[in-house]
Amino acid sequence: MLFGGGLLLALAQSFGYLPIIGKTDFSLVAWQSIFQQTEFWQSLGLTLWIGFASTVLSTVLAIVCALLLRRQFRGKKAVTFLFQLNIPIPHIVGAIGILLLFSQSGLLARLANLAGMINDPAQFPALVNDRYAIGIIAEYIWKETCFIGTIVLATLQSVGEDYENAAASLGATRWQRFRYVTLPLIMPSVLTASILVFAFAFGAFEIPFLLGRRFPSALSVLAWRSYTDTNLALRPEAMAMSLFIALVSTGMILLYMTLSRKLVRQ
Amino acid sequence: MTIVKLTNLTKTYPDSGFSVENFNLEIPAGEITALLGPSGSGKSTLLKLIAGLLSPNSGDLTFDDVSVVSTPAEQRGAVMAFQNNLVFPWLSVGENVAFGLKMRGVAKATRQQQARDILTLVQLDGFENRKPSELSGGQQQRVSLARALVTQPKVLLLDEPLSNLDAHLREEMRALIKSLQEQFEITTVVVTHDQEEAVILADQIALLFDGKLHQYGQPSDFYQRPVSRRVAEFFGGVNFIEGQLQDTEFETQVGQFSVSNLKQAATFISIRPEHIKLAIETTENTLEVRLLERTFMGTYYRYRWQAEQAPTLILTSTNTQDLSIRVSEKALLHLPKEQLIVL
Repeated sequence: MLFGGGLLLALAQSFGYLPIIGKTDFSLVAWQSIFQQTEFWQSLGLTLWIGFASTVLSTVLAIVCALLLRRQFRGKKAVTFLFQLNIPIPHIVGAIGILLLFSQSGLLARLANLAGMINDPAQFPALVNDRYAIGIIAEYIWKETCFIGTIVLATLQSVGEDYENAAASLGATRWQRFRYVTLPLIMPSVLTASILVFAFAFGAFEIPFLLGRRFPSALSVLAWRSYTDTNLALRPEAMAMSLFIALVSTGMILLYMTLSRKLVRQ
Repeated sequence: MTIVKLTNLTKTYPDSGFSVENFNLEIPAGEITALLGPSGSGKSTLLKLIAGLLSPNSGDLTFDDVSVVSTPAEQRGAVMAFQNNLVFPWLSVGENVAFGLKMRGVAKATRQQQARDILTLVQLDGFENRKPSELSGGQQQRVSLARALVTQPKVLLLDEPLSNLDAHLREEMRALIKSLQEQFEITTVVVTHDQEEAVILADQIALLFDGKLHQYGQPSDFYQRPVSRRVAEFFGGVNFIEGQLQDTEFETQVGQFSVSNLKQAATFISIRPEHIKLAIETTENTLEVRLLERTFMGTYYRYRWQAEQAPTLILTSTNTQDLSIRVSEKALLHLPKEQLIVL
């Protein structure tokens, strides 16, 4: 009820219904306004990039890690523990870590300077608050790889290697076993986990706020700026943007699921 | 047709300490050989070694005198059908059967046709578009068999192919395996823990205990000439009389028995339940007993007898007819010389 109520209120406000400033008529002005803003489309592009890049890279890395951790090797327990250690650590801690390490005033920049690789820390490549949102994506990869990997590893351990053995016996090479057997087996858990990651990366606010550029910013940051603007008349736009994030997120998840399933079936 | 030869093959599992050591066996071409034994005897390990799913610690494995020890499973041509089918649930029946052909790069139309043909052979024509979840256990087992056969393997490996099926389906599947094997003439290795299954299916049986080969031969050998008491017991032997050989007679606590085969170090004689007969008068190899128990087994009667001279000696006999003897009544049993096995 709380969620539904909030959604309805956001919907009403996005259509201009804001009695606090005397607006009681419904209109599409806020929606039309955001769609006419260049900044909105640039923010959308950046947010989609962050969502897809973080999800795809985390998923690929997670699958590789899970496949490696499934094997028997000395120190496996310790490595698995370290791999899963990130899960309870909050995103904000990761963001601060990224800032301390990768920013142009960070540890790596200073070390590179000390080592004589660059003349000034400012010459260090911009990896934080940068154009391609590398810092944001790196933080999501750091945090989400272990999340997806843990789920995939659990699936791999529960299904065992019998299906892969059957495929090997039928003539499937290592790559074919991965492509035609392992991938379809883990796909349901990969899809579930990566959808969660995409939805989070697309809609999250604090990491793009801390590690992103001011212009263009992620959609959530843009919506937040409009929402907290002293001009209350901008609030319908903030609500329209927030709802748009939810809509695009849902649409992308559906598309992602359809495409992934198709890919696996081929 | 391929001859499979295992020479001093050794596989050790360091964690459990279990091993198959210096295993030697020649599996004849174009026939069915059963690897028989109780759980943990090493039969599945041997099957996986032949399939290439496990690597031996030492020894050699050859297909037609060519070593395949370092050949990966996918290039070995030994296809395994697993105990729990392992039909890929995300593929249709047709796609499952054509899987091996797809991995070999066979064109789609060709592999679909071949899959249809082999499905007809396993009596599943028209099932190619169904999902495995829509099939019964027996049908899934046939899909698994078809999937293996369609690749025309050098060696077909069947891991407990009937163990998950009920009695009726077992019968059907057994007949199907036998007829397909005869038709394709593929060297086939069947792993089973069920001696009856091994006897019906196989041309030869290799009996394993604790990772070692105890006896190898034709199914009848295991009934007529078991090499040890353990082998005889595994094949349903229940009657063992302790003693020792004195010239041509076997001396026991219940008297002397004439035996036809002499084995100097023998400590037991054995006789199968169906070979024990009732005797009318005391002659050679007769024994005075008292009936302990009579059980109707559906198609035959089972009798348990206690020797009069040695109450700890219990013998079991079977008969298709009711012997009309009451429990605790005395009787005379005849243990025919030619049926006595000296162990």
